[in-house]
Amino acid sequence: MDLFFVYATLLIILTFVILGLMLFAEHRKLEELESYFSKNTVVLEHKRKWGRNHRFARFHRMGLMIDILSMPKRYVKKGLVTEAELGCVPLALKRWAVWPYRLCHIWALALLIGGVWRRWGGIEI
Amino acid sequence: MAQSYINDRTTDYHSLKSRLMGSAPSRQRSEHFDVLNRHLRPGLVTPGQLVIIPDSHSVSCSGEEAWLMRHAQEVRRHLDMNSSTGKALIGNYDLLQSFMASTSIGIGSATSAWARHLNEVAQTLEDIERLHQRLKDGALDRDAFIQQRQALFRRLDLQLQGAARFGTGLQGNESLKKVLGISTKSYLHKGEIAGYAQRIRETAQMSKWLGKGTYLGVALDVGVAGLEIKEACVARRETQCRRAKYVETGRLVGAVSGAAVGGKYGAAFARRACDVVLGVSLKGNARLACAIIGGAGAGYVGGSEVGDFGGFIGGKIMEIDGVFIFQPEDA
Repeated sequence: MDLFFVYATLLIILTFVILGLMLFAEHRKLEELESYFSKNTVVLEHKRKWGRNHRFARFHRMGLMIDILSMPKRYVKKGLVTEAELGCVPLALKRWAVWPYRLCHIWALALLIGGVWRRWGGIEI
Repeated sequence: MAQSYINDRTTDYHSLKSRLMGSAPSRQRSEHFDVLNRHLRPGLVTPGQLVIIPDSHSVSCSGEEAWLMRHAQEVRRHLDMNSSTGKALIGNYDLLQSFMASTSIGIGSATSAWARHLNEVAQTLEDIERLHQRLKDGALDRDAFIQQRQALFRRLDLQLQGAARFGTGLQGNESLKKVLGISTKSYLHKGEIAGYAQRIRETAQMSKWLGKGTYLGVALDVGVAGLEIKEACVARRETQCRRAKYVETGRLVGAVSGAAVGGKYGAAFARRACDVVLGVSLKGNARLACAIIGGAGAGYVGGSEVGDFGGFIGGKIMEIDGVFIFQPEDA
Protein backbone atom coordinates (compact mmCIF):
# COMPACT_ATOMS: atom_id res chain seq x y z
CA MET A 1 0.00 0.00 0.00
CA ASP A 2 1.68 3.22 -1.05
CA LEU A 3 1.95 6.38 0.97
CA PHE A 4 -0.17 8.48 -1.35
CA PHE A 5 -3.05 6.03 -1.02
CA VAL A 6 -2.89 6.33 2.78
CA TYR A 7 -2.75 10.11 2.47
CA ALA A 8 -5.73 10.20 0.10
CA THR A 9 -7.74 7.94 2.41
CA LEU A 10 -7.00 10.12 5.44
CA LEU A 11 -7.96 13.20 3.46
CA ILE A 12 -11.30 11.69 2.46
CA ILE A 13 -11.94 10.62 6.07
CA LEU A 14 -11.10 14.15 7.26
CA THR A 15 -13.54 15.55 4.69
CA PHE A 16 -16.35 13.35 6.01
CA VAL A 17 -15.53 14.17 9.63
CA ILE A 18 -15.58 17.90 8.97
CA LEU A 19 -18.77 17.67 6.94
CA GLY A 20 -20.42 15.64 9.69
CA LEU A 21 -19.38 18.16 12.36
CA MET A 22 -20.61 21.08 10.26
CA LEU A 23 -23.99 19.51 9.56
CA PHE A 24 -24.42 18.41 13.17
CA ALA A 25 -23.67 21.91 14.45
CA GLU A 26 -26.01 23.47 11.90
CA HIS A 27 -28.89 21.18 12.77
CA ARG A 28 -28.48 20.61 16.49
CA LYS A 29 -26.62 23.58 17.91
CA LEU A 30 -27.83 26.60 15.96
CA GLU A 31 -30.99 27.36 17.97
CA GLU A 32 -29.12 26.94 21.23
CA LEU A 33 -26.42 29.33 20.05
CA GLU A 34 -28.94 31.89 18.85
CA SER A 35 -30.80 31.72 22.14
CA TYR A 36 -27.84 33.42 23.85
CA PHE A 37 -28.32 36.37 21.50
CA SER A 38 -32.10 36.55 21.84
CA LYS A 39 -32.05 40.30 22.50
CA ASN A 40 -29.39 41.16 19.94
CA THR A 41 -30.85 43.18 17.07
CA VAL A 42 -28.26 42.05 14.52
CA VAL A 43 -28.90 38.38 15.23
CA LEU A 44 -32.67 38.87 15.34
CA GLU A 45 -32.66 40.78 12.07
CA HIS A 46 -30.49 38.13 10.44
CA LYS A 47 -32.75 35.39 11.76
CA ARG A 48 -35.79 37.20 10.43
CA LYS A 49 -34.13 37.58 7.04
CA TRP A 50 -33.17 33.93 6.83
CA GLY A 51 -36.03 32.79 9.00
CA ARG A 52 -37.20 29.78 7.06
CA ASN A 53 -35.94 26.49 8.30
CA HIS A 54 -34.39 25.79 4.93
CA ARG A 55 -30.94 24.27 4.65
CA PHE A 56 -29.45 27.38 3.07
CA ALA A 57 -31.12 29.60 5.65
CA ARG A 58 -29.57 27.59 8.46
CA PHE A 59 -26.22 27.74 6.71
CA HIS A 60 -26.35 31.55 6.60
CA ARG A 61 -27.63 31.85 10.15
CA MET A 62 -24.82 29.63 11.33
CA GLY A 63 -22.42 31.78 9.33
CA LEU A 64 -23.26 34.79 11.46
CA MET A 65 -22.73 32.81 14.65
CA ILE A 66 -19.34 31.66 13.39
CA ASP A 67 -18.35 35.21 12.46
CA ILE A 68 -19.33 36.58 15.84
CA LEU A 69 -17.68 33.81 17.83
CA SER A 70 -14.48 33.68 15.80
CA MET A 71 -13.91 37.46 15.79
CA PRO A 72 -15.56 38.51 19.07
CA LYS A 73 -13.41 41.57 19.74
CA ARG A 74 -14.13 43.02 16.32
CA TYR A 75 -17.87 42.65 16.79
CA VAL A 76 -17.76 44.11 20.29
CA LYS A 77 -15.74 47.05 19.00
CA LYS A 78 -18.29 47.66 16.28
CA GLY A 79 -21.00 47.60 18.92
CA LEU A 80 -22.84 44.73 17.27
CA VAL A 81 -22.64 42.40 20.27
CA THR A 82 -21.84 42.93 23.94
CA GLU A 83 -19.22 41.19 26.03
CA ALA A 84 -21.99 40.07 28.35
CA GLU A 85 -23.74 38.24 25.51
CA LEU A 86 -20.51 36.60 24.43
CA GLY A 87 -19.63 35.66 28.00
CA CYS A 88 -22.90 33.78 28.39
CA VAL A 89 -22.15 31.33 25.56
CA PRO A 90 -20.70 28.08 27.02
CA LEU A 91 -17.24 27.22 25.77
CA ALA A 92 -18.34 23.78 24.52
CA LEU A 93 -21.06 25.37 22.42
CA LYS A 94 -18.62 27.91 21.00
CA ARG A 95 -16.38 25.06 19.95
CA TRP A 96 -19.19 23.39 18.03
CA ALA A 97 -19.51 26.50 15.92
CA VAL A 98 -15.89 27.45 15.50
CA TRP A 99 -13.88 24.25 15.45
CA PRO A 100 -15.18 22.65 12.26
CA TYR A 101 -14.03 25.76 10.42
CA ARG A 102 -10.67 25.70 12.15
CA LEU A 103 -10.30 22.10 11.05
CA CYS A 104 -11.02 23.34 7.55
CA HIS A 105 -7.73 25.26 7.59
CA ILE A 106 -5.95 21.93 8.09
CA TRP A 107 -8.15 20.34 5.43
CA ALA A 108 -7.36 23.08 2.91
CA LEU A 109 -3.65 22.77 3.62
CA ALA A 110 -3.82 18.99 3.30
CA LEU A 111 -5.69 19.37 0.01
CA LEU A 112 -3.06 21.74 -1.29
CA ILE A 113 -0.23 19.41 -0.29
CA GLY A 114 -2.07 16.44 -1.81
CA GLY A 115 -2.70 18.34 -5.03
CA VAL A 116 0.93 19.36 -5.37
CA TRP A 117 2.09 15.83 -4.51
CA ARG A 118 -0.24 14.31 -7.08
CA ARG A 119 0.80 16.64 -9.86
CA TRP A 120 4.50 16.75 -9.19
CA GLY A 121 4.64 13.05 -8.46
CA GLY A 122 2.83 12.33 -11.73
CA ILE A 123 0.28 10.15 -9.93
CA GLU A 124 -2.47 9.02 -12.30
CA ILE A 125 -6.05 8.96 -11.11
CA MET B 1 -28.79 15.75 -51.67
CA ALA B 2 -31.30 16.78 -49.00
CA GLN B 3 -30.01 18.20 -45.78
CA SER B 4 -31.39 18.42 -42.30
CA TYR B 5 -31.28 21.08 -39.67
CA ILE B 6 -32.04 21.10 -35.97
CA ASN B 7 -34.15 24.06 -35.00
CA ASP B 8 -32.51 25.86 -32.11
CA ARG B 9 -35.28 28.22 -30.96
CA THR B 10 -39.03 28.63 -31.03
CA THR B 11 -39.91 30.22 -34.32
CA ASP B 12 -42.86 30.37 -36.69
CA TYR B 13 -42.89 27.99 -39.61
CA HIS B 14 -42.82 30.65 -42.33
CA SER B 15 -39.84 32.53 -40.87
CA LEU B 16 -37.98 29.27 -40.54
CA LYS B 17 -38.84 28.35 -44.10
CA SER B 18 -37.71 31.66 -45.55
CA ARG B 19 -34.52 31.52 -43.45
CA LEU B 20 -33.60 28.10 -44.77
CA MET B 21 -34.95 28.35 -48.32
CA GLY B 22 -34.21 31.98 -49.09
CA SER B 23 -36.82 34.69 -49.41
CA ALA B 24 -38.26 33.70 -52.79
CA PRO B 25 -38.11 29.98 -53.52
CA SER B 26 -39.96 28.69 -56.56
CA ARG B 27 -43.48 27.46 -55.95
CA GLN B 28 -42.46 23.87 -56.58
CA ARG B 29 -39.54 24.02 -54.16
CA SER B 30 -41.71 25.72 -51.58
CA GLU B 31 -44.32 22.95 -51.86
CA HIS B 32 -41.61 20.33 -51.73
CA PHE B 33 -40.36 21.85 -48.47
CA ASP B 34 -43.89 21.70 -47.06
CA VAL B 35 -44.26 18.04 -48.01
CA LEU B 36 -40.92 17.11 -46.44
CA ASN B 37 -41.71 19.01 -43.27
CA ARG B 38 -45.30 18.02 -42.71
CA HIS B 39 -44.27 16.67 -39.31
CA LEU B 40 -43.79 20.25 -38.10
CA ARG B 41 -46.81 21.75 -36.38
CA PRO B 42 -48.56 24.54 -38.19
CA GLY B 43 -47.64 27.79 -36.47
CA LEU B 44 -44.71 27.66 -34.12
CA VAL B 45 -41.82 25.22 -34.54
CA THR B 46 -40.33 24.24 -31.20
CA PRO B 47 -36.60 23.87 -30.46
CA GLY B 48 -35.11 20.48 -31.18
CA GLN B 49 -37.31 19.72 -34.21
CA LEU B 50 -35.61 18.29 -37.26
CA VAL B 51 -36.19 20.38 -40.37
CA ILE B 52 -35.54 18.86 -43.80
CA ILE B 53 -34.18 21.08 -46.53
CA PRO B 54 -34.64 19.75 -50.08
CA ASP B 55 -31.75 20.07 -52.47
CA SER B 56 -31.83 22.85 -55.00
CA HIS B 57 -32.80 20.72 -58.04
CA SER B 58 -35.13 17.98 -56.95
CA VAL B 59 -38.85 18.53 -56.60
CA SER B 60 -39.85 14.92 -55.95
CA CYS B 61 -39.14 12.87 -52.84
CA SER B 62 -36.02 10.73 -52.90
CA GLY B 63 -35.33 7.67 -50.76
CA GLU B 64 -32.97 9.70 -48.68
CA GLU B 65 -35.63 12.30 -47.99
CA ALA B 66 -38.04 9.58 -46.94
CA TRP B 67 -35.38 8.30 -44.56
CA LEU B 68 -34.94 11.77 -43.10
CA MET B 69 -38.70 12.17 -42.76
CA ARG B 70 -38.94 8.98 -40.77
CA HIS B 71 -36.29 10.25 -38.36
CA ALA B 72 -37.90 13.67 -38.17
CA GLN B 73 -41.17 11.99 -37.20
CA GLU B 74 -39.40 10.03 -34.52
CA VAL B 75 -37.80 13.15 -33.12
CA ARG B 76 -41.13 14.93 -33.14
CA ARG B 77 -42.90 12.06 -31.39
CA HIS B 78 -40.31 12.13 -28.66
CA LEU B 79 -40.46 15.89 -28.27
CA ASP B 80 -44.25 15.70 -28.03
CA MET B 81 -43.94 13.31 -25.13
CA ASN B 82 -41.90 15.85 -23.24
CA SER B 83 -42.15 19.37 -24.58
CA SER B 84 -39.25 20.64 -22.46
CA THR B 85 -36.84 18.11 -23.88
CA GLY B 86 -36.01 19.98 -27.07
CA LYS B 87 -35.21 23.12 -25.21
CA ALA B 88 -33.24 21.11 -22.68
CA LEU B 89 -31.26 19.58 -25.49
CA ILE B 90 -30.51 22.89 -27.13
CA GLY B 91 -29.75 24.62 -23.87
CA ASN B 92 -28.05 21.61 -22.40
CA TYR B 93 -24.50 22.81 -22.44
CA ASP B 94 -25.21 26.32 -21.26
CA LEU B 95 -27.50 24.93 -18.62
CA LEU B 96 -24.92 22.51 -17.38
CA GLN B 97 -22.27 25.19 -17.41
CA SER B 98 -24.38 27.49 -15.28
CA PHE B 99 -25.00 24.64 -12.86
CA MET B 100 -21.29 24.07 -12.66
CA ALA B 101 -20.81 27.64 -11.58
CA SER B 102 -23.76 28.07 -9.28
CA THR B 103 -24.21 24.79 -7.50
CA SER B 104 -20.90 25.11 -5.72
CA ILE B 105 -22.61 27.46 -3.30
CA GLY B 106 -23.01 25.65 -0.02
CA ILE B 107 -23.48 22.21 -1.41
CA GLY B 108 -21.22 22.68 -4.40
CA SER B 109 -20.47 20.24 -7.12
CA ALA B 110 -17.38 19.06 -8.83
CA THR B 111 -17.78 18.43 -12.47
CA SER B 112 -14.24 17.79 -13.47
CA ALA B 113 -15.29 14.82 -15.54
CA TRP B 114 -17.79 16.96 -17.37
CA ALA B 115 -15.27 19.76 -17.92
CA ARG B 116 -12.84 17.29 -19.40
CA HIS B 117 -15.53 15.94 -21.66
CA LEU B 118 -16.34 19.42 -22.89
CA ASN B 119 -12.70 20.08 -23.61
CA GLU B 120 -12.73 17.04 -25.83
CA VAL B 121 -15.81 18.22 -27.65
CA ALA B 122 -14.23 21.63 -28.16
CA GLN B 123 -11.16 19.94 -29.58
CA THR B 124 -13.24 18.07 -32.14
CA LEU B 125 -15.00 21.26 -33.08
CA GLU B 126 -11.71 23.01 -33.62
CA ASP B 127 -10.69 20.15 -35.86
CA ILE B 128 -13.86 20.60 -37.88
CA GLU B 129 -13.20 24.31 -38.19
CA ARG B 130 -9.63 23.69 -39.28
CA LEU B 131 -10.86 21.22 -41.87
CA HIS B 132 -13.23 23.82 -43.31
CA GLN B 133 -10.39 26.31 -43.36
CA ARG B 134 -8.18 23.89 -45.27
CA LEU B 135 -10.93 23.35 -47.85
CA LYS B 136 -11.34 27.11 -48.23
CA ASP B 137 -7.60 27.56 -48.69
CA GLY B 138 -7.59 24.86 -51.35
CA ALA B 139 -5.29 22.58 -49.38
CA LEU B 140 -7.83 19.78 -49.50
CA ASP B 141 -9.99 18.33 -52.28
CA ARG B 142 -13.72 17.98 -51.77
CA ASP B 143 -13.82 14.16 -51.49
CA ALA B 144 -11.11 14.08 -48.84
CA PHE B 145 -12.85 16.92 -47.03
CA ILE B 146 -16.19 15.07 -46.91
CA GLN B 147 -14.53 11.87 -45.78
CA GLN B 148 -12.58 13.58 -43.01
CA ARG B 149 -15.52 15.65 -41.88
CA GLN B 150 -17.69 12.56 -41.64
CA ALA B 151 -15.07 10.97 -39.41
CA LEU B 152 -15.02 14.07 -37.22
CA PHE B 153 -18.81 14.18 -37.08
CA ARG B 154 -18.83 10.56 -36.00
CA ARG B 155 -16.38 11.43 -33.25
CA LEU B 156 -18.50 14.38 -32.19
CA ASP B 157 -21.55 12.19 -32.22
CA LEU B 158 -19.91 9.72 -29.88
CA GLN B 159 -18.70 12.48 -27.62
CA LEU B 160 -22.14 13.98 -27.37
CA GLN B 161 -23.78 10.67 -26.63
CA GLY B 162 -21.62 9.78 -23.66
CA ALA B 163 -19.73 12.01 -21.31
CA ALA B 164 -16.92 9.59 -20.85
CA ARG B 165 -13.21 9.62 -21.58
CA PHE B 166 -10.95 9.90 -18.61
CA GLY B 167 -7.39 11.07 -18.57
CA THR B 168 -7.30 12.55 -22.04
CA GLY B 169 -5.47 15.59 -20.75
CA LEU B 170 -7.08 17.77 -23.42
CA GLN B 171 -7.04 21.39 -22.45
CA GLY B 172 -9.09 24.23 -23.78
CA ASN B 173 -11.22 27.15 -22.75
CA GLU B 174 -13.72 27.01 -25.54
CA SER B 175 -17.02 28.61 -24.83
CA LEU B 176 -19.96 26.27 -24.61
CA LYS B 177 -21.79 28.48 -27.03
CA LYS B 178 -19.29 27.36 -29.59
CA VAL B 179 -20.29 23.77 -28.95
CA LEU B 180 -23.90 24.80 -29.24
CA GLY B 181 -23.24 26.70 -32.43
CA ILE B 182 -21.81 23.73 -34.22
CA SER B 183 -24.22 21.16 -32.94
CA THR B 184 -27.38 23.07 -33.69
CA LYS B 185 -26.74 25.64 -36.35
CA SER B 186 -24.77 23.54 -38.73
CA TYR B 187 -26.31 21.34 -41.32
CA LEU B 188 -25.94 17.76 -40.38
CA HIS B 189 -25.08 14.78 -42.43
CA LYS B 190 -27.16 11.68 -42.67
CA GLY B 191 -24.82 9.71 -40.44
CA GLU B 192 -25.51 11.98 -37.50
CA ILE B 193 -29.26 11.96 -37.66
CA ALA B 194 -29.69 8.41 -36.46
CA GLY B 195 -27.91 9.29 -33.25
CA TYR B 196 -29.92 12.44 -32.76
CA ALA B 197 -33.07 10.76 -31.55
CA GLN B 198 -30.99 8.69 -29.17
CA ARG B 199 -29.27 11.83 -27.88
CA ILE B 200 -32.62 13.43 -27.17
CA ARG B 201 -33.60 10.47 -25.06
CA GLU B 202 -30.38 10.63 -23.06
CA THR B 203 -30.66 14.36 -22.57
CA ALA B 204 -34.26 13.98 -21.52
CA GLN B 205 -33.15 11.50 -18.91
CA MET B 206 -30.45 13.85 -17.73
CA SER B 207 -32.75 16.85 -17.55
CA LYS B 208 -35.17 14.72 -15.59
CA TRP B 209 -32.47 14.09 -13.00
CA LEU B 210 -31.57 17.74 -12.99
CA GLY B 211 -35.14 18.82 -12.54
CA LYS B 212 -35.57 16.80 -9.38
CA GLY B 213 -34.74 18.20 -6.00
CA THR B 214 -32.54 21.09 -5.15
CA TYR B 215 -29.25 19.26 -5.24
CA LEU B 216 -28.69 19.86 -8.90
CA GLY B 217 -24.95 19.64 -8.64
CA VAL B 218 -25.17 16.27 -6.98
CA ALA B 219 -27.55 15.08 -9.66
CA LEU B 220 -25.20 16.30 -12.34
CA ASP B 221 -22.29 14.47 -10.81
CA VAL B 222 -24.36 11.33 -10.47
CA GLY B 223 -25.33 11.72 -14.12
CA VAL B 224 -21.77 12.18 -15.25
CA ALA B 225 -20.53 9.28 -13.15
CA GLY B 226 -23.36 7.15 -14.49
CA LEU B 227 -22.53 8.01 -18.07
CA GLU B 228 -18.84 7.29 -17.52
CA ILE B 229 -19.66 3.87 -16.16
CA LYS B 230 -22.31 3.21 -18.78
CA GLU B 231 -20.03 3.98 -21.66
CA ALA B 232 -17.28 1.72 -20.39
CA CYS B 233 -19.78 -1.06 -19.75
CA VAL B 234 -21.74 -0.71 -22.99
CA ALA B 235 -18.56 -1.28 -24.96
CA ARG B 236 -18.25 -4.67 -23.24
CA ARG B 237 -14.84 -3.87 -21.91
CA GLU B 238 -14.92 -5.88 -18.70
CA THR B 239 -11.88 -4.40 -17.02
CA GLN B 240 -12.66 -0.79 -17.89
CA CYS B 241 -16.26 -1.29 -16.90
CA ARG B 242 -15.34 -2.64 -13.49
CA ARG B 243 -12.70 0.00 -13.02
CA ALA B 244 -15.09 2.77 -14.10
CA LYS B 245 -17.58 1.67 -11.47
CA TYR B 246 -15.03 2.08 -8.71
CA VAL B 247 -13.26 5.17 -10.03
CA GLU B 248 -16.42 7.10 -10.86
CA THR B 249 -18.22 6.11 -7.68
CA GLY B 250 -15.17 7.14 -5.64
CA ARG B 251 -14.94 10.37 -7.59
CA LEU B 252 -18.62 11.10 -7.06
CA VAL B 253 -18.46 10.52 -3.31
CA GLY B 254 -15.30 12.60 -3.01
CA ALA B 255 -16.59 15.38 -5.24
CA VAL B 256 -19.89 15.85 -3.44
CA SER B 257 -18.42 15.81 0.07
CA GLY B 258 -15.42 17.91 -0.95
CA ALA B 259 -17.61 20.49 -2.64
CA ALA B 260 -19.88 20.67 0.39
CA VAL B 261 -17.00 21.24 2.81
CA GLY B 262 -15.21 23.57 0.39
CA GLY B 263 -18.38 25.57 -0.20
CA LYS B 264 -19.06 26.12 3.49
CA TYR B 265 -15.47 26.88 4.28
CA GLY B 266 -15.04 29.20 1.31
CA ALA B 267 -18.19 31.12 2.21
CA ALA B 268 -17.06 31.61 5.82
CA PHE B 269 -13.55 32.52 4.78
CA ALA B 270 -14.66 35.01 2.11
CA ARG B 271 -17.15 36.65 4.47
CA ARG B 272 -14.44 37.19 7.03
CA ALA B 273 -11.98 38.45 4.41
CA CYS B 274 -14.54 40.93 3.10
CA ASP B 275 -15.25 42.11 6.63
CA VAL B 276 -11.59 42.55 7.61
CA VAL B 277 -10.09 43.70 4.33
CA LEU B 278 -12.94 45.57 2.68
CA GLY B 279 -14.85 46.55 5.81
CA VAL B 280 -18.10 45.14 4.45
CA SER B 281 -20.90 45.63 6.95
CA LEU B 282 -23.12 42.90 8.29
CA LYS B 283 -26.12 44.45 6.64
CA GLY B 284 -26.68 44.58 2.94
CA ASN B 285 -26.01 42.17 0.15
CA ALA B 286 -22.25 42.67 -0.12
CA ARG B 287 -21.67 40.17 2.67
CA LEU B 288 -23.89 37.65 0.95
CA ALA B 289 -22.11 38.28 -2.36
CA CYS B 290 -18.77 37.61 -0.66
CA ALA B 291 -20.12 34.36 0.76
CA ILE B 292 -21.48 33.28 -2.61
CA ILE B 293 -18.26 34.03 -4.48
CA GLY B 294 -16.10 32.38 -1.82
CA GLY B 295 -18.44 29.42 -1.51
CA ALA B 296 -18.65 28.88 -5.24
CA GLY B 297 -14.92 29.09 -5.79
CA ALA B 298 -13.87 26.95 -2.85
CA GLY B 299 -16.72 24.53 -3.51
CA TYR B 300 -15.52 23.99 -7.04
CA VAL B 301 -11.87 23.55 -6.07
CA GLY B 302 -12.73 21.34 -3.09
CA GLY B 303 -15.08 19.19 -5.11
CA SER B 304 -12.72 18.83 -8.01
CA GLU B 305 -9.67 17.98 -5.89
CA VAL B 306 -11.37 15.67 -3.39
CA GLY B 307 -13.20 14.10 -6.31
CA ASP B 308 -9.85 13.19 -7.84
CA PHE B 309 -8.70 11.71 -4.55
CA GLY B 310 -11.94 9.75 -4.35
CA GLY B 311 -11.39 8.50 -7.89
CA PHE B 312 -7.85 7.49 -7.00
CA ILE B 313 -9.04 5.49 -3.98
CA GLY B 314 -11.83 3.96 -6.04
CA GLY B 315 -9.30 2.86 -8.63
CA LYS B 316 -7.25 1.14 -5.98
CA ILE B 317 -10.14 -0.82 -4.63
CA MET B 318 -11.45 -3.74 -6.62
CA GLU B 319 -14.15 -6.17 -5.73
CA ILE B 320 -13.45 -9.83 -6.25
CA ASP B 321 -16.09 -12.35 -5.28
CA GLY B 322 -17.76 -9.84 -3.03
CA VAL B 323 -14.59 -9.19 -1.04
CA PHE B 324 -12.87 -5.83 -1.17
CA ILE B 325 -9.16 -6.00 -1.70
CA PHE B 326 -6.56 -3.42 -2.48
CA GLN B 327 -5.37 -3.51 -6.03
CA PRO B 328 -1.61 -4.00 -6.32
CA GLU B 329 0.34 -1.03 -7.68
CA ASP B 330 1.30 -2.75 -10.95
CA ALA B 331 -2.04 -4.44 -11.66
